[in-house]
Amino acid sequence: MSSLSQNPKKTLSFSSTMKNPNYNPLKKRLASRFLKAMGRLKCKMSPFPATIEEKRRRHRAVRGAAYASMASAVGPRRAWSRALLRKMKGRKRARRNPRNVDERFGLNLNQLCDVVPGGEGMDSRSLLNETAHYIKCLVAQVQIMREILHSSSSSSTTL
Amino acid sequence: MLHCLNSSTSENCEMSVLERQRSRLKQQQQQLSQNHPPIPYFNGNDHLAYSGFHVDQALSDLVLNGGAMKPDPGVEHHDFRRFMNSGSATTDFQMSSALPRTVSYTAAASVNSAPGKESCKKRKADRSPKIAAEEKKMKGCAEEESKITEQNSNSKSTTTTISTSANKNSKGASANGKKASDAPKADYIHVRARRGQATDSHSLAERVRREKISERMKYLQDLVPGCNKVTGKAGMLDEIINYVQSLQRQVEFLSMKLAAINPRLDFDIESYILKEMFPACPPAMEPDHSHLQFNTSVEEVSGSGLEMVVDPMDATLRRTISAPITAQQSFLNSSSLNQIQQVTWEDELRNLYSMEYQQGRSTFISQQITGFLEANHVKLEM
Repeated sequence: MSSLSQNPKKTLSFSSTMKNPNYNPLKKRLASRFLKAMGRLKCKMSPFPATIEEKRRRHRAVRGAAYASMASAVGPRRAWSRALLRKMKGRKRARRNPRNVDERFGLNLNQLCDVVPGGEGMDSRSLLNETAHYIKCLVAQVQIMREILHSSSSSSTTL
Repeated sequence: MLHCLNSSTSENCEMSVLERQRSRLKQQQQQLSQNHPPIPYFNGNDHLAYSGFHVDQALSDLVLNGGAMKPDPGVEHHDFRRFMNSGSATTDFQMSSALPRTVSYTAAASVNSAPGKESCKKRKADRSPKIAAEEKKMKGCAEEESKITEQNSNSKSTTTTISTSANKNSKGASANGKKASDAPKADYIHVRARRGQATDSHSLAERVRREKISERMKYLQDLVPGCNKVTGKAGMLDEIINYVQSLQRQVEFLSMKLAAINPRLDFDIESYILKEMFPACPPAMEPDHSHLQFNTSVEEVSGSGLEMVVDPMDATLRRTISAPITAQQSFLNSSSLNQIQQVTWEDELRNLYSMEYQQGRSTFISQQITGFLEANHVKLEM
């Protein structure tokens, strides 16, 4: 079918054999990047945050590290990662395309492009593509963070 | 008849099309008795009401449009209905060897692929080049004449000749053929009778786009848990949005927890975590200055680490964590007590999150979680 030929990556993910053309699977890359970012963060952070403001700042830093590592692991291949990277670097030169996502199919895609980063200037099909990939990455990231928490909490109890 | 056909190709008048069709029909009806083989195939296909109807309609369309008429969907369709309601007429169509090449072609195709009739798309795939070719040919008068003569010959031979000649001409006509094959009632070649569909190329493109979107939605449905119950694009979209939002909230929450725990975390722990999660990962993640600490802490960690390596995933990890914790009860101080509470509390939260996925609503739960988090912060600081 022509649709398959137009979007080979989608067909690959359909078959669920390969997620990306990279050698390492997505989760490994996400984990390595996130752990690196966490390591870097820990250098900067004070061991015991005294005030709530510091705590909030750290929390935001960790969250930012999570999203940044996610976006950089994926690279500029996806629109949402590009949008995230743009946000990280502070470049606001994102093309403000008019909201033309509400096509005749009656889908309420406005909310979706609010949720998924970089979802403004896209048609419904690519928006759904991006959403699918974003969900996959989010799930992997959440798993990684949970595992880190687990192992860190367990190991710190033994120390 | 020939001159009528020749003149008709240049015109685009609906009534003339109808008249041409009728005259053609009469002509073909005269030649009914010649061929009988197609009957059993079509009778077999009548079992499938939809596909049978497709066939009948397609055949009737083909019959009446055999003269390469301009598209005339509305009028044709009604006429076909009338014709088809008379059962004899349909059988007559089927029996006629004078039926245009496409019909005998359908016979051959149906013979070849008995279940293929059910799917319109299969027919489309099979026939789009050939139909395109035929469409092209029908625009040429001379070819029409040749077709007509061919019709009088054996049905099989007609299909073969047409297929061969069609394949020659199919190169530039794939797009047209697709359109022709997609439009059910518009063009003179009807392969798939998609009823109730508009006939423009616009609606065609729309339909293709709609199919692609539904494809994506199906894929998203697999990704999002609990999406099977909700049907319809709007409901599924809501579910997807909720799921993404809940995932983002989870990331927030976990990052908050990580930020709270972080000061106790050492670099070596992280590298160890990485190794245990991905055993094949090279140890390139280790920070440089952590080697000493790594050696010293490995012993403490190894006690719990073994179990962790065995079961790296969450559910089993919980059970394994409890064993070394109980073994080291004597070393516990207040902070570690809080951490044990935290571990168990994480279990509850995980259960909450799993529930959240199923229910799809998590605002209340997230409020609870933030409440717990504040309480835990207080405990840790003590």
